[in-house]
Amino acid sequence: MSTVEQSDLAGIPGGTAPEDVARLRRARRVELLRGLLHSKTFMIGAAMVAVWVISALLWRWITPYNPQAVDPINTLKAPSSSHWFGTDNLGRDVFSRVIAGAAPVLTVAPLATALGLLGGITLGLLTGYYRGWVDDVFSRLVDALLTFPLIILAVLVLASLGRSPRNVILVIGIIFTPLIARTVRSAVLVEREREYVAAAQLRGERGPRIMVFEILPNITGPITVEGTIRLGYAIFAAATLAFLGLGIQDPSPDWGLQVANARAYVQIAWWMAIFPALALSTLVVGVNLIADGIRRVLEE
Amino acid sequence: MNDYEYHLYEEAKSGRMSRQQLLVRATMMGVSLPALTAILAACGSSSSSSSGGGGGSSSAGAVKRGGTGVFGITSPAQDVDPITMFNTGSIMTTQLAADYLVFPDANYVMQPRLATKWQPGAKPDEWTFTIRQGVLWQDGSPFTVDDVVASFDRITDPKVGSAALSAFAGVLSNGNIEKVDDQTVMFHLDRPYGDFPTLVSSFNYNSVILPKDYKEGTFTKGGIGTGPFILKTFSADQGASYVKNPKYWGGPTLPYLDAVQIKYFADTPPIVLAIQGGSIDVFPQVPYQGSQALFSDANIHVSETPSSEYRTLQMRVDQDPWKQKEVRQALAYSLDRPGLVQGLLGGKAELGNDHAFAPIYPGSPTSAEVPQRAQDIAKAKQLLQTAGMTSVNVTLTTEQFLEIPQYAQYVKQMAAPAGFNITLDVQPQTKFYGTGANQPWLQANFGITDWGARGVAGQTIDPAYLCSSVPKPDLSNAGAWNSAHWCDPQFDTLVKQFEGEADEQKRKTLAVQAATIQNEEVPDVIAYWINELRATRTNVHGLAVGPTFHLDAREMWKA
Amino acid sequence: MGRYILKRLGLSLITLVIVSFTVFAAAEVLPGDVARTVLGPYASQQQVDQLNHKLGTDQPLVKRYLTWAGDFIKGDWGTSPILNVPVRPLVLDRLKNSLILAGFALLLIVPISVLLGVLAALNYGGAADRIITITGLSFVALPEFVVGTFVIVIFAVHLGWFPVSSSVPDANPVDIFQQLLLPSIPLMFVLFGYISRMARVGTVESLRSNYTRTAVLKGLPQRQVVGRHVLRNSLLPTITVVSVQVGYLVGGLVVVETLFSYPGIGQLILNAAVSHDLPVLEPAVLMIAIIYLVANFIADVLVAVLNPRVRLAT
Repeated sequence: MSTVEQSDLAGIPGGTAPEDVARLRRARRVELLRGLLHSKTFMIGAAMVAVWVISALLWRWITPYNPQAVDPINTLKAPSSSHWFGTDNLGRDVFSRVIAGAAPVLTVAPLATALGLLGGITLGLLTGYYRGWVDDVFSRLVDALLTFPLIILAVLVLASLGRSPRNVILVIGIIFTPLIARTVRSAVLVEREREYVAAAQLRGERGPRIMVFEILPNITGPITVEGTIRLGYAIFAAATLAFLGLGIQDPSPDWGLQVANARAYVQIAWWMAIFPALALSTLVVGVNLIADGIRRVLEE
Repeated sequence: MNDYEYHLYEEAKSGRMSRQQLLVRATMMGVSLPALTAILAACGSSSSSSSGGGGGSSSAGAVKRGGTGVFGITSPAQDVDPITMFNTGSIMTTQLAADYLVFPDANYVMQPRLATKWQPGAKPDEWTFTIRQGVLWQDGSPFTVDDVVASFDRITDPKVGSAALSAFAGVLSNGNIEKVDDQTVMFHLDRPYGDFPTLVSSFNYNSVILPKDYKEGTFTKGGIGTGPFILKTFSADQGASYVKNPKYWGGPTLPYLDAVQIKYFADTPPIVLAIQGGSIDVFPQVPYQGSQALFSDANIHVSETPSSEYRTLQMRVDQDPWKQKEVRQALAYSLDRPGLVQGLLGGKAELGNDHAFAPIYPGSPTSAEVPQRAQDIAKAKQLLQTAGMTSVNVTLTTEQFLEIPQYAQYVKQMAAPAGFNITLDVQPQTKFYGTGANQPWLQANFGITDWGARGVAGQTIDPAYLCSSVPKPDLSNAGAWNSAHWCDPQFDTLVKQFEGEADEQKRKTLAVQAATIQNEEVPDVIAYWINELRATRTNVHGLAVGPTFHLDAREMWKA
Repeated sequence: MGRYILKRLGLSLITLVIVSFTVFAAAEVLPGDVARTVLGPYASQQQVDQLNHKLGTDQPLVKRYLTWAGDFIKGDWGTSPILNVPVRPLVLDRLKNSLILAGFALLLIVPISVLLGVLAALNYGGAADRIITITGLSFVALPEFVVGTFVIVIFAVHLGWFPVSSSVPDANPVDIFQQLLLPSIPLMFVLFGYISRMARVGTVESLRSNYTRTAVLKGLPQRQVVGRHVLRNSLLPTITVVSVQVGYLVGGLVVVETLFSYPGIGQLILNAAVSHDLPVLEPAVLMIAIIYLVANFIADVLVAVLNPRVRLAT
């Protein structure tokens, strides 16, 4: 692929006609996509994540048993041909629960990330573009907040607001907002010094318009990377909060919750713990591989 | 032979009561040893009234003296005081050092301790206890009848706020404990109560006999009690250590061990590990869930004894959707009870039949007398229809404790086909019990509560099912634990007659009548009676196998 | 130097105020009705009002915060209404247990991570570098409870080398390893990722720097170059990252202590949060903030001592 062309595109000259800009951007996107398709890291990650996305969407038709159906006579049975991953303490099929368990985490984490992106991009654009004392205060506040173990902050807030998936989304999203804003802000700081911004200002365009229509399309790269990395963290956080009993409640097949329930039986029924833990690891690693792949392709 | 002894003799001859049941009843009513011998002979048994410690492995060779016995229990997480204690950790910590008037063995047979004899008056509204002579407190001062009177005055005094107030409510009031002479105490009851010895036994665990000048909160300083071991050190989050009491009244034979130690743990899993690793000798009260690994461990013996421990699945009869009994019956019919017993407790439980007369109590109704309720989804649906409902949306509030969260899950799943749409709210135990005006276990619309073993049916029924036990809206009537808020005057009358009746046949009839009402009205589903488990390392002998929240180590020894 | 330390100290104090206010707000303002939260859904409105008045929630916000912070500073932490024990000894005792666990994990993983990080840098672009980097990356991504579950199943259940849950160890080394090694592993996984990465970057930079080149050109043997110049310079960012990770470590403790039933402050915080035991929750969380700030402060001072340029720049 031609790196020369890409670096040229990074600083689109201010005088270019809007339709040219659009065409160039489209071309760049195609180029990026091609790069991703050739990236082994990205493709492996995408494959791992795809398995779980499909599970999350289609588990109703895939699982051999109803993931919530109990069977008191067959509790804590080891993996066998009828129960591939064994049964749990209520006689539920662990395989079916692992498949269905992709749904809650892939609902909570993307929504939380989206919320964080929405807030973070807005805040990052504003502080980066206008700077001034608001920016200073904001940066100090974020630094102070970041000194705090975020999981404890989440525990604190969830204890106050109540334990529910909705609140988990809110908490993760709100904690992500300043973090994402920081990344966006530093990207904006670079972009606002470029000619095309100055040109737009000369044309008399107003701040919000410049931010949304001029700057934002040019920082989609770092935002995509940040978003993917955050998605990985969101899965991490959502699963951890579920494990701690602060998120979704039994009988949901959520993986974190499954591992938490398995704790008391780990000596006699390791399968209850290990399969949801493995599932979660593959998803988290998959998302991280995707993030790494995107970052590399953008850097090239 | 007095009238009651003769009556029991007749029962024995007719074969209507088993030897075990006769023993339980005879010891409860303070039957004298010669009479007991005659009664047991009549039912064709040997005359020995001693059931020993009830220990499963007490016959293993000659007793070996000395050594230290170590117990692993769940931490009381607070300072221990015999007056206010209510959790197992505190109770066991107390019982190693202090005595009761009477103490039950694993089969609920009452054994004499600080009382040597007891008997009811003409009606069982008066009870006379003969107090053991020559007993010394651990500090060397003599134990007297005055100490006994003071102990019961203290725990029946509403101002002191003992945890036993609910057990004594309506039975024994403050000031009605009389010193007859230097050997005799008489209890004047509010009403006839045939099972009164239970209330001065360890089943009513606050009935510990303490010195008359005992100051609340000083027990853990050590050296208080007449028991076989002297408390030496105590730490609310670590445990307690004890040494042999050289002045013990059961001496010089007892106790066998030189010292005992209690280790506190936060949770079940570490206790399971500790006994597997050998750092403790005994896990006195084993919950089935989470302890399954013990059953396959060759170094550990797990004993199993039927008990009156159970769970209530209570429905607020004063609130929708439970106001009509058909809805409550529908829920009761939707449960697969043998499945619950298997899935929750590995089969280590007896079936419950929605009445509070546990199978272990003598004279409890059998399934021939009150037909056993079994799963019948069609019937459940039909009952809901009769009540004018097709589906019911309810929230089941309960606690994170023992097998209860799983029980809640099973209820949710099993009741779904009948039309119950149940949302679970499983809270930490401290939150579920709450304090003051907020005690979800008494207020929730639909809940599951754990009830420990009791000595007699009345000990459960009085606080949990009588009209007088319905909690007030602000919960100001302490000890009123009727969590279903169920009130049936006819049931109350029957229970009170039952409790005051000495004639075994009449008792039986009354129990069947009361149980039938409760089974029909279903204020709560009683799905199973738990067999209690106690785990010991295989070198431990002489320790009673139950009741498992009691700890009596005086005859324990280690090979 | 003195001025620098004073300035850092001032910053730490400001941060503490911000953090403590956040804790206060999250616990006491966010729920709206504190007394309702404490008393639960079944308490009567009258009782709720009474408690609200007693707690002073009808007072202005700043005044409430000052009273609250004042009580904390005076050591007047009250009694837990749920556990029925005085809060201060409980929190301090649990904190001590957690510090034992965290200290053990740090002592073990910092040298290993630094060593491997430096090794990766010396082998820049090579196989060892790739393996160390990729392992570090995937370690960071895995939630602690997942790693913890794996090590429990393998080392405690199948191999039986360690207990499946941990208690506070006695003073003897065997017991320390028995009780603390497994719960430390999930913490070490994450720490390893961050610390080895920083050590690697630091080393790579100093290897490329002029003074290293000069040293090599002077003909000093490689071992001496690495030992004397490179290591010293790569340690600076490592100290910073370790101090930052103290904050993470405490968060990780919540999970690890829950998984291993270890009686530390993380478990205490979680239980207090779930049962709305605010008198326990707030001081416990504040203690963590303080520990974290102290660690950061010490790291700042250390870095300044080791590298005079930092003092001048700030």
